Amino acid sequence: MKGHNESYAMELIIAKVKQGDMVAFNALIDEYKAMAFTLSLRLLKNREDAEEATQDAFVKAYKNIGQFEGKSKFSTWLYTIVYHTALTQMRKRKLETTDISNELIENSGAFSESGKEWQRLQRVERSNYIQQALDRLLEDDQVAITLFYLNENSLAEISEITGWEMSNVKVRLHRARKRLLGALEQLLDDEVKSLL
Amino acid sequence: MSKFELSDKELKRLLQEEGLEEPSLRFNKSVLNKVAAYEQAKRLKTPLWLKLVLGVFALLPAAYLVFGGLNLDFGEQTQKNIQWPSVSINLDFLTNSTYFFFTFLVVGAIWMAIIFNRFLEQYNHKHR
Repeated sequence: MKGHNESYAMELIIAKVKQGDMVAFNALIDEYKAMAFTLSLRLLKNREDAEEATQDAFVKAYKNIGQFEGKSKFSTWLYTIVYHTALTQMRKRKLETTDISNELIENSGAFSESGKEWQRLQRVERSNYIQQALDRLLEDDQVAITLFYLNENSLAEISEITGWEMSNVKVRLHRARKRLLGALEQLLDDEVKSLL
Repeated sequence: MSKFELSDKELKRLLQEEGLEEPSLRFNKSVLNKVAAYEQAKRLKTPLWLKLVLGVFALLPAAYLVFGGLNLDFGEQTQKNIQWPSVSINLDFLTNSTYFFFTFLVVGAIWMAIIFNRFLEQYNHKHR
């Protein structure tokens, strides 16, 4: 019931934005800016660039909101714009991407102490490791992880947002998850090694 | 196979504990400013009737030169036999010369452009 009321409220807000209501648009920005910014940041890896891309995406969304017919969720429609705006900016600025080597994945099971080490870590430390591990992933892997685990988008929604084939989404998500765990393990093992 | 394993549920919990990144505090204001600028530009868009007037003003001297210079005759004879008119240029720089006429048109067009520009500025100012 709560979900239904929320979606009804969102429909009302969108209808008002279509009429040019700036207060409603401000509410819409408040609702989605964090996720939109996170998505941009995963691709651009720079807060200023990500903020600019997210702002541009919101302006594009405002200009084209008349085209939103409600066939998919508004968030999916908006994140599609955000993803492509950030992607365009990324290509434009030719950012150097940090590639995760296959070696990392292959060697990810080489040490057995990392699992135990992980359990001992405090929340803040875990957070730090997750951030570092995420940073080691490819941009697209980060996007897949963010959309699936953080925003709880379905595979179909990820496919719609990114334009990837469904089968590609599955494969990419599986690999991204594996790479993330591999990167975490590598980081923890480095930590263990440094203590020895 | 990695020995370091986390279930999907655990991974989701960990990532959600991380939370989302927040943009700067001026984010909303910046977006709203950009949208306001877009709306203003949309309002200041030259209306169709003004474009038509501009088109007529721009084409008038050219049309006058073409039709006046070629001195076309649209009578019955033209339908069967088109005769290209001979263009004669009077090099006398005094009255009735082509140069005099052409200069008059150019100066007129420039003045029209200046007046039209002022009119547009006033129009935009009123609609701001």
